[in-house]
Amino acid sequence: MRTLLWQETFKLLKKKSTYWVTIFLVISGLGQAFLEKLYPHNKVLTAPMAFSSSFAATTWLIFIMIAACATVLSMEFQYGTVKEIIYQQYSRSTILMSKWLVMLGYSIYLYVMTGAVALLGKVLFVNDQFSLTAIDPYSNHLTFLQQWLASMSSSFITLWLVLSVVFLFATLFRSATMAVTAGIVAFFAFNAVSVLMFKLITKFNWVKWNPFNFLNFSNQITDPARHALTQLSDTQLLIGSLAYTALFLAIGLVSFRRQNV
Amino acid sequence: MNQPILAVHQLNKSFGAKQVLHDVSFACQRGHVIGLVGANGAGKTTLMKAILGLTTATGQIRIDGQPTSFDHHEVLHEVGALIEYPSIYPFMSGRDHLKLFAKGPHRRQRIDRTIADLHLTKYIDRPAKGYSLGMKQKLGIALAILNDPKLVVLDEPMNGLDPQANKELRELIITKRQAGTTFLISSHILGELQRIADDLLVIDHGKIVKQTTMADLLAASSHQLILSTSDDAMARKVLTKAGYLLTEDPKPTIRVGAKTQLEPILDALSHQQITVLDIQHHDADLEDSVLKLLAQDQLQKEGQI
Ligand SMILES: Nc1ncnc2c1ncn2[C@@H]1O[C@H](COP(=O)(O)OP(=O)(O)OP(=O)(O)O)[C@@H](O)[C@H]1O
Ligand SMILES: [Mg+2]
Repeated sequence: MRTLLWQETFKLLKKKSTYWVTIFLVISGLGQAFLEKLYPHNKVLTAPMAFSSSFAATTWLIFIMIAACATVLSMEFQYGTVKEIIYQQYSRSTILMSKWLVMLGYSIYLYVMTGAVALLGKVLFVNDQFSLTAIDPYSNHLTFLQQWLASMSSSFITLWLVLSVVFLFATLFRSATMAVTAGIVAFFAFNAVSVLMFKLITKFNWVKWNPFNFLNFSNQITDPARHALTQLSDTQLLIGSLAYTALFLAIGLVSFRRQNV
Repeated sequence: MNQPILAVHQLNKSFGAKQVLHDVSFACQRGHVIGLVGANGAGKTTLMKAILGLTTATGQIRIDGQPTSFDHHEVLHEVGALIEYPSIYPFMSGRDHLKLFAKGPHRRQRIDRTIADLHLTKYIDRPAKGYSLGMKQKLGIALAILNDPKLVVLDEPMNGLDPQANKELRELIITKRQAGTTFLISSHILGELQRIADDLLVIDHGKIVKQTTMADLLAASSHQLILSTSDDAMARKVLTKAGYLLTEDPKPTIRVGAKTQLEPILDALSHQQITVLDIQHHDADLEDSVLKLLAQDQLQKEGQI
């Protein structure tokens, strides 16, 4: 397992895109903060709002991680290197798990890195606009700092729910395109159909247990009013998200263990 | 310690309703080079994939005495392989590939030695996406032998290699074999196999139709004498009368066993005032032998139907 983790990390670090992603996120985070400095009185996106999403990094991260997880598995099929990996002494389960773990580490790195950039951007450009320890008037009496941390950690949970679907599609279809599409649809197109889903929930209460509803976890954390729509408590959303993540990953694992290559 | 490095017993494999391997059983002795030959679609790649745990199959496979299967194949750390086409990550250099898959102690030295053995120095540090087919193939072979495996499985390793690289590969295989490495090599280039293989497995429609040593196979095949004479038509008559077996060739080609004497033939001809202008020996090579084997197998099959 250690060898496999090392191999996966080695490949990740050999990809140029890994470095471009970091550079891009730093520039975009600081750039967004700088814009807030230029337009301090805009009402569309106030500085504290922008900060709570690490200056839009949380959204970028979803795109980036969907692409990374889709390719980390499907590239092996595309390049045929999956043969080289599997005929090593390791079992298929450890191969796939080491990919999960390296992606988990990568996502944690990206969160910490963009978090640091956000703090830097706040101090550099918008320090005068709000204080981290002041109470956020829109949330349930959390400080801006607490609000930011809550938003980051909840979006991390939701991100992995999406990524488990991406991994599932990557194993089933062995194609990065399919996996990326699944991830994008799961996360972004979901917003379009969620109105319909919420209507269904009011009609049939059990619909609230469908996996899409759990994508609301991070929304509900930052906007408690959502509870009326999801009909689930924060804890239920958290546990449900984790359970669905585990389920999708497990289905992918079972499928990967049976695949002929 | 004399157990075979690889023993396959009753291996069967189907893709849906199509059975691709039928009760395949064979064993490979340590330090031998085993050639695997058969027509396109005979099942060579499938057999190798089953050995490497890449595809499911029923039956038993033992490597170095240990059972191995699709799910459990720890023993594969003793095996190196190149299957079908070399698989490379385009975003890494050749050396990165070797670093990625090198295991155990003295990695550095083994990487450097493999690069030297296969003469990769010139391009090993360039990104692999710019490699030609032959360069990729050589990198694939390098990955297969990198960790000094006891068993090396190569699927058509001469694919895309230039004559020089081909020769180097042959010499490398011979050196490694002397050091005790076993090779299972599939190839359509029979001339090449004839020069390196000790044993031969002939597979046809998923069945092993012949397992033999190269020496036996070649010894059993026919030798021919090709005569040019002043009067070929007359010579044919004379020799047929004398009881020699002639082929359909217009030249009096005589098929003979290994110990035929030349003198009686010459005597019989000169008796009839026929001058012998030229004599050529023609030994059947691996290609002839294999083609004959496969043709026989085909005939048998048709006979059964
Ligand atoms: N994934 C697959 N699905 C269905 N049939 C397959 C698959 N892979 C191989 N086959 C079939 O199995 C048979 C054996 O294929 P295999 O690749 O082992 O042949 P081969 O001996 O390696 O041929 P070649 O000399 O062309 O490389 C072929 O009839 C092929 O059509
Ligand atoms: Mg083949």
